[in-house]
Amino acid sequence: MGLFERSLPDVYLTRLADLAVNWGRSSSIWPMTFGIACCAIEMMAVGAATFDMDRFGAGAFRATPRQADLMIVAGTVNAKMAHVVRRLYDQMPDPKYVMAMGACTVGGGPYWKHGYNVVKGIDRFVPVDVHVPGCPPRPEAIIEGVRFLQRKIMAKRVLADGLPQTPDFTGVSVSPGTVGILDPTVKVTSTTAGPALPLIGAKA
Amino acid sequence: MTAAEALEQLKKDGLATGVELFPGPKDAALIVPRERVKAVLRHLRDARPFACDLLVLITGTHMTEKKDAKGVLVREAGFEVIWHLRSIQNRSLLAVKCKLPTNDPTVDSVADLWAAANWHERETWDLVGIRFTGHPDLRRILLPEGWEGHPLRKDYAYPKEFQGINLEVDAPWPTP
Repeated sequence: MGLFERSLPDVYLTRLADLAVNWGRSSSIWPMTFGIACCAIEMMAVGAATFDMDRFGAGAFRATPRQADLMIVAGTVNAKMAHVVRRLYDQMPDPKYVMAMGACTVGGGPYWKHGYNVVKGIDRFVPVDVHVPGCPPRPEAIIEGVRFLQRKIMAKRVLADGLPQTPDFTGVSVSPGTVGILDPTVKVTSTTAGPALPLIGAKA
Repeated sequence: MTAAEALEQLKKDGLATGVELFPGPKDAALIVPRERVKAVLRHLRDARPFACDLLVLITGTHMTEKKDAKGVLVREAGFEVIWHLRSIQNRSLLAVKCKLPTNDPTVDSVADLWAAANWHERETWDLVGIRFTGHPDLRRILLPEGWEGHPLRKDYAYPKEFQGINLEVDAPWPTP
């Protein structure tokens, strides 16, 4: 929000405005068309009709980083590619988010020990918001990762001058094996998908 | 045409000096000394009985010394380059091997005989470090420019970082 970036007092009204902005941002996450390896096939499946990530507002894959909010790094990143990934990240406008998709981007995956050229985790050169493990992850896991990211965006402070809230994962559906890395400190109170909106005025 | 038949034909053509037969049930090949590799390969491409008009691939290997339980040397240390040739007309396969010493892995380029050899030789240089003399543009093809070493060598040390990117196996978790 540029000019007013976390500069207004942390009161009910600014939080209400934050809520509106965050709702808009989290409901229209535009990913970048950017596939490196086999994970990209699953990413395409998520965009296609059967799984249809557009249901969550994240289906408009943009062919340029200038129009994208989310970079799904889908595939093995090696030392030659890392600079390109970093440049694409730098070209994205704020606010921008990164999803590390697949075992290779999370921590090197099968190339962890003997991949002389593979970067063991993309969080060594770009900040990562969501880690989605799997080799490759199921399309449901990617949807889960997008849902996690939406919770994370909803908890941000945009106008209000205050610390970011602790992400509220209440109501996030949890299915072991297909879910992104859960923060162990977050207590999941329900295992069914519920409304994502955090309580207005709730203490973080 | 099997490797044994090819060797017979080479003897008739007067090009078999120093050429040996690498025996094998399926992977029989000709072992050619490296000074004569290019002449032999050129003959295999041009002479009618062989007509090896297709270079399928070039293999480079690095081998360490190997001894059996009694301490007898079974395999010498060194490099080996293998040209896998195919003849479309004769419907036959032929492999040509060349052994190179460890301290000087250099062999003549065949990029002017088969255009396909250009990239194969670049790849062999990139990963195994065999230098092809006479190659028009011997650069790395897979690894980035500025990479040190040749990864498929037995004595290759894994890099710790490359141009500011940490490549260590057990790096500390990055702090935001």
